[in-house]
Amino acid sequence: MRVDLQPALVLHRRAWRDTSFIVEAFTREHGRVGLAAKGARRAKSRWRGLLEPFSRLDLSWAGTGELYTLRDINYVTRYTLAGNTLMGGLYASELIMRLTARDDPHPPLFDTFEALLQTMAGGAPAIVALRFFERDLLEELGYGLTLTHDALDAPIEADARYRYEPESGVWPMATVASNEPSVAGATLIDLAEGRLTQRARLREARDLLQAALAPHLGSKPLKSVATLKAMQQFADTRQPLPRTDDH
Amino acid sequence: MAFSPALARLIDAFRVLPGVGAKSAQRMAFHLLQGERAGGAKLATALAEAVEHIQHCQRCRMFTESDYCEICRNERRDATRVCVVESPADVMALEQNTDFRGHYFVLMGRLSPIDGIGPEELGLNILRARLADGPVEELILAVGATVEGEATAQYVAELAERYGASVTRIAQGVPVGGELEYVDAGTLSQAFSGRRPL
Ligand SMILES: [Zn+2]
Repeated sequence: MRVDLQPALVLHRRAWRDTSFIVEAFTREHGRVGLAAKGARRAKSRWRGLLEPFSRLDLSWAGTGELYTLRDINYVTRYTLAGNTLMGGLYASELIMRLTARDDPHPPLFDTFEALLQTMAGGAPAIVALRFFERDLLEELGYGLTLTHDALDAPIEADARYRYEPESGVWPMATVASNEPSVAGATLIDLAEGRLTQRARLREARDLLQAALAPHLGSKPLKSVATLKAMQQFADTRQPLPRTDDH
Repeated sequence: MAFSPALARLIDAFRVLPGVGAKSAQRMAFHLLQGERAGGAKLATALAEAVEHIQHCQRCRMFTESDYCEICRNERRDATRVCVVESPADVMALEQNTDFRGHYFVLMGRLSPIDGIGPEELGLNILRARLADGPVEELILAVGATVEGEATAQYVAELAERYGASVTRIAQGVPVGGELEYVDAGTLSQAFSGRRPL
C-alpha cells in the first residue's frame, strides 16, 4: 500500500531503536495508522521536531502489516497547547487511540479532533471543549447519546431530572435520592445545543459522558486519566518533610 | 556454522548495547578474544562493579556509587540553584558546555500521561523534599522543547513556585522536538545563558 500526502494529526510518538520513532497518527481518510519514522531522531534528520503531538501534517507512507514506513512529511501547522488544554489534548489523543482501530477511517472524527485542538489552542477552556468532543466522538463511533428525548421518546424537559442507562438512554426520575447519580434536563439540552457554561451543569455533563464512555473503555482505565489524577494528588499533598537544620 | 556456547553467549550479550546488531556484536567479541584479552577482563570487572554498585544519588538522582554524587557533595557548588534535566547525559552536556556551578536534579524521563509516567516515576517527591527543606532560590528548567518537556516544565514550575523558588527555563536554541543530549555545544551554551523567568 502506498499513500501520498494524507492529512494527519499526530496522536503520540515513542522512541524506537536508536534513531527512530514509532508514530501513532490519526489520518483523515485512513484512520489511525502506526508509522515507523526511520532516522527521525538523528541530530541532522530533516524530520526532527516535526512529529510532535498535536502537529497537523500531510504524511506519505508505504508498506503492509501493522506498521507502515513513513516516507514523507509536509508540515502544515502545530496546535500549541499549554496547561489544562495540553493535558486535555493528551486525553483526547488517548481516547482516539483506545476507541478507534488501526486503518479504520473516520473522516468526521478527524475534523472533530482538529476542531478541538484548534479551539483549545485558541484559548477555549479544556473542561468545556472536551465535553463536546466526547459527545461527538461517541456519536461518530456509533454510540451516540440521545440528548433531545428520553428512553420513552418524550422530549427532554429542562426542569426534570434523568437517570442514565448505557443501553437505553436517559429515564425520567419521579423522585431523586440525594446519593443517586442523576442529570438535569437542562444539562442534556445544553450539551445537545453546545453551550455548557454553568459549573454544576459542566460537572453533570462530565459524569454523564464518563458513564457513556465507560463501557467502551472496558476495565482498563485510560493511562492519561490515571496519571493526571496522580499529578493532582501529588500537587495537593503537603510537603512530606518538616524543615530541619541538621544537615 | 554454530559458535561454541560461551562465544554465542558473549555475542548475544553485546547486543544489549544501543546500535549493536548481530554483525557488530560478533566483531566486538572477536576483537576482544583475538588481541584484547586484558582489555576484555578489565571491561568485565568494570561492568560487574558498575551494575552492582552504581545507584541514584539520593539528592539529585544522578548515577553514583555513593549515597550522594560528586556534584551534590561539592561544597563549592551553589546549592541555591538547581537545574532540572531529563537525563544524566544532559548533566554531562551542561557541565561541559556551560559555566553553571549549581546543583542538578535528574528526572530520568519526562512527564508523559499517555505512557503513565507521572510525578512518582520522575522522583518528584525527592525534588519536593529538597524544595521544602533547603533554600532553593532558582530552579532552572533545562528540559527538551517537546510536548512532554513542556508538560514537565509547567508541572515542575508550579510545584517550585509553591516553595518560593523563582523558576527559569532555558530559552532559544533548543530545536522544537529536540533532546538536550543531541544539541551542539554552541547552541546549548547560548540556550543556557538565555534562560528567562516563566
Ligand atoms: Zn547528586
